This record gives sequence, structure tokens and C-alpha cells, in this order.
Amino acid sequence: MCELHKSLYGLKQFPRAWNQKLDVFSKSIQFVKSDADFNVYIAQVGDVKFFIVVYVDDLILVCDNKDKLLQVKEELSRKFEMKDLGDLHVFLGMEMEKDRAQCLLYINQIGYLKEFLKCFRMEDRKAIGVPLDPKTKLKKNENKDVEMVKVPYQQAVGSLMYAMLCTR
Amino acid sequence: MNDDELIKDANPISLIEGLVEGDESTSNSSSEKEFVTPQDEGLNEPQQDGRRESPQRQRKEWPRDWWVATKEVERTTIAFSEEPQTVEEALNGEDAKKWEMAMQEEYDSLVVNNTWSLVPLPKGRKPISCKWVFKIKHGVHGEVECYKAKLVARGFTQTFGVDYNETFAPIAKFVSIHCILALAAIEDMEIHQMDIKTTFLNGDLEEEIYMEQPQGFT
Repeated sequence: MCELHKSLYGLKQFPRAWNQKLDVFSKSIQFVKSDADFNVYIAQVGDVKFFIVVYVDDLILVCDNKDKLLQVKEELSRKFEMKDLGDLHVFLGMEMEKDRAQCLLYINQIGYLKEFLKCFRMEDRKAIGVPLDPKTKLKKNENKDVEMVKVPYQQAVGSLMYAMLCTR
Repeated sequence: MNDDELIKDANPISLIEGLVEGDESTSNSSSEKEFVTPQDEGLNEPQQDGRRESPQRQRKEWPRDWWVATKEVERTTIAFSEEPQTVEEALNGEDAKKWEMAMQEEYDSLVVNNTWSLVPLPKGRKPISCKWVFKIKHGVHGEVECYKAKLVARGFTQTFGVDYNETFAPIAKFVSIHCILALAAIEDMEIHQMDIKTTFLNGDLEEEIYMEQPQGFT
């Protein structure tokens, strides 16, 4: 029988064990947890503001001083095995486009939605406007369409909900 | 409804947390809790009725696991290819050699990282089971990149208070992500991204957990 020392993917405490590790580390480099969201870490040294947003194994680092940012990145890499993805382009299916001259940041989910359509084999379906015409009559599918049985309906709804929340 | 849970002052910071609110005055009939879905919540949303003006409100947090679930969906549905579901399938199929190598690789990395030690099971304890998950990783153009086998614990066989005490998912709220991104855009800050490999190897366990030996390596 195995006695576990380290947490393993699938364990109930798996995400917590990881979070505690990160917590201890972030404290050691003078970051404090935000009161509003425990997954946001904040540090302010003089004029330099620094934010870290945690989404399980993805981190976003925001800082107004590039040198400080690189320094923290190096410290993180030394502690954990990390992949540096550089400038933020894609996060949780959101694509980012920066317009620094005008101080604007655009986010879109084109990629996610295309992938979604591909997953549910709907790439070539026709687009339709929402909301539907209130006069539309929905019919029950009498001949038990064999194709519809195979549709992972709950997953489709879940994926749509995610898209809806992401860039809302 | 528990009076202790009532938050009497409307704190502006907690308003942007995306909490789900049920109104105290309308749900006095105890069990009928009113849930508002997160998309009904919004920062500067106009109030549609007078309910939210009540200074007394009971807050209910939207279960964090829900976010995990929807993120998982996006990953799992992509897998339409013929990946084996069980060890037997993997080791008797066409790619048996490749799967065997992938399993060995994962097993070795777990052993090297001192994930577990072999011990006799103490009396009265029930081990949790584990499972091999097989995945074919595809490259950008759909070509097969590598064969991956992953050992996962079947957490649903754990018992609260015995195998685990506390859980928590480190998932930032979308509201905070949006807020910080907006701030970064306005102040022209640097935004970088990092991603942690083999997250699971990082955390130490507080509880004593016993797991069955992985199939194929007993």
C-alpha cells in the first residue's frame, strides 16, 4: 500500500496543498493577499505596484516596473518549475490585444468559440440572431433523431456558460 | 436562516466580489433560498427592483468548484480521438509500447519526487483508489506530438475528516481579473503570464492518506 507524502492530482486537497505552498512563498517575497479575493496578491514598494492573479496553475503578473517584474519572475522560477509565457496574450480562452498608445486592452474569445464549435461539430452550422423571435414554436423531436442522442448536452451548456462569464 | 451570517453594512469592496445574494426579507420561509446566477450580478448594474436596497442581506458564495468544472469541460471535449480508457486497453492495443513507456515515465517521476512510500495498511483504514488516464497530445496542426499517461487519485473515494479536512480551489474571480487588467491598461503596466508545470508535485500533505498501488506496478 502507498502512503502519500505529496498531493496527487485528483485528491480533494490537491488544489489546497498547492495554494498553501504558493501562499508561504508569496509571503516570503513581501506580497499580501487581497481581502476581496484571496487569489490576488498585492505588493507595493515605494511607487512600484505589483499584482499577481492566481488561477490554479496560471499566474498573471502585473507591474508598472519592468525590472521588478523580471526579478519576481526569476524568484518564482527558482522556487517552482515554471514556464514563462512572456507578455499576456491568451488567458483562460480569452485573447488579449493591447493598444498601449491609447491605454486600451481588448479581450475576445474568438478562439475559444471556434474551438467550441469544432468540439461539438457545429463549425458549418448557420448563425442565428438572439434573442429568438418570440413567435417561434419549438417542436418536440418525434423521430428521436439518432444524431442528437450523441450530443454531450450538459458539456455544451457548460462550455457556453463559461464563454458567457469570461468576457462579460 | 442564520442571523450570524447577516452582513449589516454594505461594504463597497465586497460588492465587487461577485457574491451571490439572497434577500433576507423575501426568503424568511427558511428553506426557499433565492439564488441569483453570477451573470445577474454586475458592477454598475441598474437595480431592477427594490430588493437590493435592503441593508440586511445574507450572502452566499457561488461554489468555486463550479469554475473548475467548466474549465475542465473545455479540455475533455476536445478528446474525440481513440484514447484508451483502461490500462488493459492501452497495453493490448496498437500503441501498447508507447503507452507502456508513457506509464513508466510518469511512474518514475512520481517515485523520484518521493510522492509516496510503500507501507502496510494500518488496521481500520481504507485506501483510496487511483486510475491511469491516457492522453495523446496533439501539436498545432493536429499531428501526434506525444503519448501521456497520468496517474490520478480517485478523490471521490476520500472520506471527509479521515482522508481530508479542508479543500480550496485557488481560482481568482473573473471580476478581479477584469479589474486588474483594466487597471493595467489604464496605467500602462506590464502584463506577463506564467504557468506552473507539474503543479501537483508542489504541495505537501497534512493528512495521512493511503492509496492503492497503481495498476501495472504492484
